[in-house]
Amino acid sequence: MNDLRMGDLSSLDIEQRLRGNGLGLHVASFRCLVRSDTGLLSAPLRQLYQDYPVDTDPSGFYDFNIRLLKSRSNFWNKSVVQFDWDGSSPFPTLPFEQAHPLFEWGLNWCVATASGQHTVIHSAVVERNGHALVLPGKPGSGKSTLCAALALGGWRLLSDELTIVSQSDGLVQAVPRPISLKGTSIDLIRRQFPEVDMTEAIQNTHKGSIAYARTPSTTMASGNLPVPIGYVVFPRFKAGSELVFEPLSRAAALVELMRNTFNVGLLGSTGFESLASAIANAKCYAVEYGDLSSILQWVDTTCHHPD
Amino acid sequence: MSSSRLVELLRFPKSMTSVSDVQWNEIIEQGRKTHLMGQLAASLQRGEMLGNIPLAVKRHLELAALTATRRSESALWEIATIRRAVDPKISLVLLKGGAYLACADDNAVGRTFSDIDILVRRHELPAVEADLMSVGWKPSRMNKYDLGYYRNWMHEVPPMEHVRRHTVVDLHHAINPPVSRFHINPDKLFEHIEEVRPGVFVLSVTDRIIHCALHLLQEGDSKKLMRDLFDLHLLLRQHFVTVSSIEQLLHRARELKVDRLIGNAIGAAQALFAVEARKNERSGWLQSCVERAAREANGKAMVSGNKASSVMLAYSHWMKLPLYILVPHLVRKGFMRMTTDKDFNVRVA
Repeated sequence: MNDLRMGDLSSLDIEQRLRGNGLGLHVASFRCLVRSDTGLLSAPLRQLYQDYPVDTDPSGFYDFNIRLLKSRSNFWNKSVVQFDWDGSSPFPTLPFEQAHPLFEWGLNWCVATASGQHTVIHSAVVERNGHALVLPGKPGSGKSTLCAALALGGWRLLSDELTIVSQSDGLVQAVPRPISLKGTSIDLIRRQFPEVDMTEAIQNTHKGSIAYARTPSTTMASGNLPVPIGYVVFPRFKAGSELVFEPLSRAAALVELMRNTFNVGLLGSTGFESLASAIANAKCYAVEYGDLSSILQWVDTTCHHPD
Repeated sequence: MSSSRLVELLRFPKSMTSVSDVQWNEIIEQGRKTHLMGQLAASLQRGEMLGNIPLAVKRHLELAALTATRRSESALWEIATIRRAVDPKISLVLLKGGAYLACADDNAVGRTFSDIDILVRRHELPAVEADLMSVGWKPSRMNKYDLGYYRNWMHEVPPMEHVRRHTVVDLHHAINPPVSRFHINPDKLFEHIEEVRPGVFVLSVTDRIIHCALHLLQEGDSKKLMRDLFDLHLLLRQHFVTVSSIEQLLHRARELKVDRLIGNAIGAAQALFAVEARKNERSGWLQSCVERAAREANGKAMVSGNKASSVMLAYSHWMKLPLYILVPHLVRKGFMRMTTDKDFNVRVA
């Protein structure tokens, strides 16, 4: 185990590693070897992953062997960037400027794929007092914004995209990563948390404009301890709406969680059973809200597990 | 980078004890690229080596094994569904992955496949297509030209995809194109089919191997070559151990007039995977080309093509179609690709 962190390296160091034998980046239990000739990764990596362990001289086994390479089919076409993990990629080539978001999306895909033996739910998840709050939601439900606000407000970030529930013990595995913010929520979070460390927004991606906030240092400092699910909250943003919430039965929550699970087919009936027991002690709600502060307040009072 | 370390491990699982962590990077990368992860796990399991793998590596192999098991279960379920949908008087013959699975051939363990390949008699095709459509398999949408290409020259109809489950069925009426210079009359295959479940058949084990060998040559896809050769090796090891049984296999190949092709494919599989490589087998240019294409197909990411795999691709086309059909087809395809590429770039940029 080494003690070197991304923040200890200069951008130039990082760039040289990315263009050379690769930079080893440790994200929770996953070791990634990243290579890139785009020149666009070193700055955001250094900013966003500064507390993450790194290897400057790759050694040992790496779970993900990732390449982001620049290419250009003809001189009259614009440069594009391609994500590659051992010869496969779920993404098409993207405009060159989107190299960094592509890295984040690609790494999400690697983590989701390699975690296939656990239940992998498309959902944000944070933790306080030893209990996880799972926030599944469709795009536009405001789950990322809510997750960012909670993580910046003292909750521990487990993931803003993937809730990984162990098949054996029902605990949520932490794979904390920088938090993605889209569209209007970028300015919203900047206003609410003026001290937040965030990248410049990249415009015109398939998800609109996108920026990333650094993983909070408190999250990184508290280790990657897995925790049981305490709450499952399905947020739904509706402009101008008063906050209304309704408690959900665990059966209803389970059905909805399964719908957001990537690997239902892979896990079969054992996946269903293990997820059912993982939420056996969880309180479940559906919440509709019109502004961030009202739901933050609601979460603070409702999802409050005594120490 | 060649795939020698992966090949070595598949050939001889006990060699795992000398694999270092850094070498595992190479092996797993090659395993993913060749779609052999599940079979690597199965092969290490057979060699009782799974317990000694570093934990970090093991989780990837275990996941691959689990994925293969689940896919096999759902494939068997789909096969049962297809059998129920189709007129019981019609025999359905499973080919390739589905057949290995239904016969529990050694190479089925850990093997993942996406399409279910089924052979029926040509005059029964319309009935089978109609039956499948009635339960949700819809014919591919393709342009008139491609449709004509399939219907006129190919040994299969365009893939049918299920509207809800997105599983794909490839319906064949032969195992190679009727216009192919090595065409095998399907009647000769139907004479020897074996029933594995009520109404579900497979080719005889000899014909399964011949199809496997023929397929890897006529597919021309060097990315899948390694897996196909490993299939061939495992089938041979399971069913054709003795010299006389190999002779019998070659005899059948001669009967079907594909002995030279089969000999080369078998030679390549044995040169790569057999523990004691058989000497004095013929080692023609085709065989060495197959071996080289398989080994080199998995080099640097996205840099496609090397000489051997280009030759393989050209050869596969030559096998499948006579030149008077092939040349106009390639010209037309080339044009289509240029125009669609342009559209694609405009859309992305």
